[in-house]
Amino acid sequence: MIKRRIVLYMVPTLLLLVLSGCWVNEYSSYDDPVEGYRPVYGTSQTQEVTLTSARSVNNPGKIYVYGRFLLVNEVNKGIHVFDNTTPENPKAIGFVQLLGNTDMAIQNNVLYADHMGNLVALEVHDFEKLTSIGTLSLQDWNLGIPPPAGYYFECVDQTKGIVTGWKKATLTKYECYASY
Amino acid sequence: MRATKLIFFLLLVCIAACESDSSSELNNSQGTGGSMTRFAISNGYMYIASQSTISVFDIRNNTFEKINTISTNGGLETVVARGEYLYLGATDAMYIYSIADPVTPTFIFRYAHIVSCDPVVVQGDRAFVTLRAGSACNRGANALEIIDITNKNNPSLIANYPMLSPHGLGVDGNLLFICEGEHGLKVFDIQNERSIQLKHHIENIHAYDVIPNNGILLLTGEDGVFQYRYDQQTGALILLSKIPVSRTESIALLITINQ
Repeated sequence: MIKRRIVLYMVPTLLLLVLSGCWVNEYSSYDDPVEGYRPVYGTSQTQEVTLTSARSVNNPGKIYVYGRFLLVNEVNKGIHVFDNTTPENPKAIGFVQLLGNTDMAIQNNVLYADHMGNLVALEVHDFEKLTSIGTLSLQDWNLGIPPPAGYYFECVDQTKGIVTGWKKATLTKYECYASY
Repeated sequence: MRATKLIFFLLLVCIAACESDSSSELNNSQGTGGSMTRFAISNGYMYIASQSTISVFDIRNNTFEKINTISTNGGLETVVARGEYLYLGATDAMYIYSIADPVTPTFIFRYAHIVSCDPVVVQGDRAFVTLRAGSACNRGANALEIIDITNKNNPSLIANYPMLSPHGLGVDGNLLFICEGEHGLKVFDIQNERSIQLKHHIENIHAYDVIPNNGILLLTGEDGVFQYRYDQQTGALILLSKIPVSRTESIALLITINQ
């Protein structure tokens, strides 16, 4: 009898939880540790817009062609620059560090790319150096990497910067859940 | 001896000519993006499709200013500018906006279909849209649609072809390149748009987006960036190079590539 009553109460509670569930649900802490994910934040050093030496491609995103240059987005990290004079042998010549980046375009030697929810304009000088022309804010731009669906995760603290990845972790305090 | 000197001199001239050519070409030009891009440039204006807004930036002659933002129904994913129009791929429809007044994109038409992800490419008076039932948009069908956009106020469906998991796409003349995600790349002959022909299917790669660029196809996906030379008549592909991917194991980079 008591059992049945508990079940009866549970149904609306569960329903409420499901109905309130949009993309990310907030839960109160539980005691038992669970397997989940912890956010990896971009450090202030990684938030700087700089041209660095070429690095390996880990997670290629969108691509862009400008004259002899081939640009390859490193999802949420920046842009790999290749000299593609010979398509048989593209030469990696540098990397533009742009935290949160997914998109890019070039006109008249100026690279436009998203950086932490802003649009930056950079004169590229054949990618030997970069000069900043300006930064403007972008409206409702997707920022950071969403947590893996179907797992608990440590809630994101916006003051720590933007999320550049997720690390598997055993969570004892887990207040957020990413639903499908 | 004289001949080698002459050849060397000619080579030098060639190199010099090429260099001056490429730099002058770059002085007033723009590049080419893939179909998944959220950035479009037209006549010195840049249009950016974020979630639910189209932002307009003036990038004429060293200016860099945000001059307008237009609210939309939301779910925007891609944008392409052709002539006086913007074509936007969204999770629920393809939208056409007029940029006859470049500062103020004006809504013209919403071509609605089943809810799915969908980039758009345009060639002449045809739009090619892929619809994908993906993780970010659970409902919907996997398909390619060819749409007659002669009348921008009333586009009409010409044909619908089932696909496996279509992502980005590119068109060049009679050839249509479709990225099928983990199912690779497909090349279609689209001369007969009511009965397009599959010419080639590269199955052993992950294909996310492509740029057909003067006989060279650039392809990006989880396995790296591939370049192919393609025959503009037959669509036959020859692999030229591959920029490999090295995965970092320490951090589980769980990334939704399609932002």
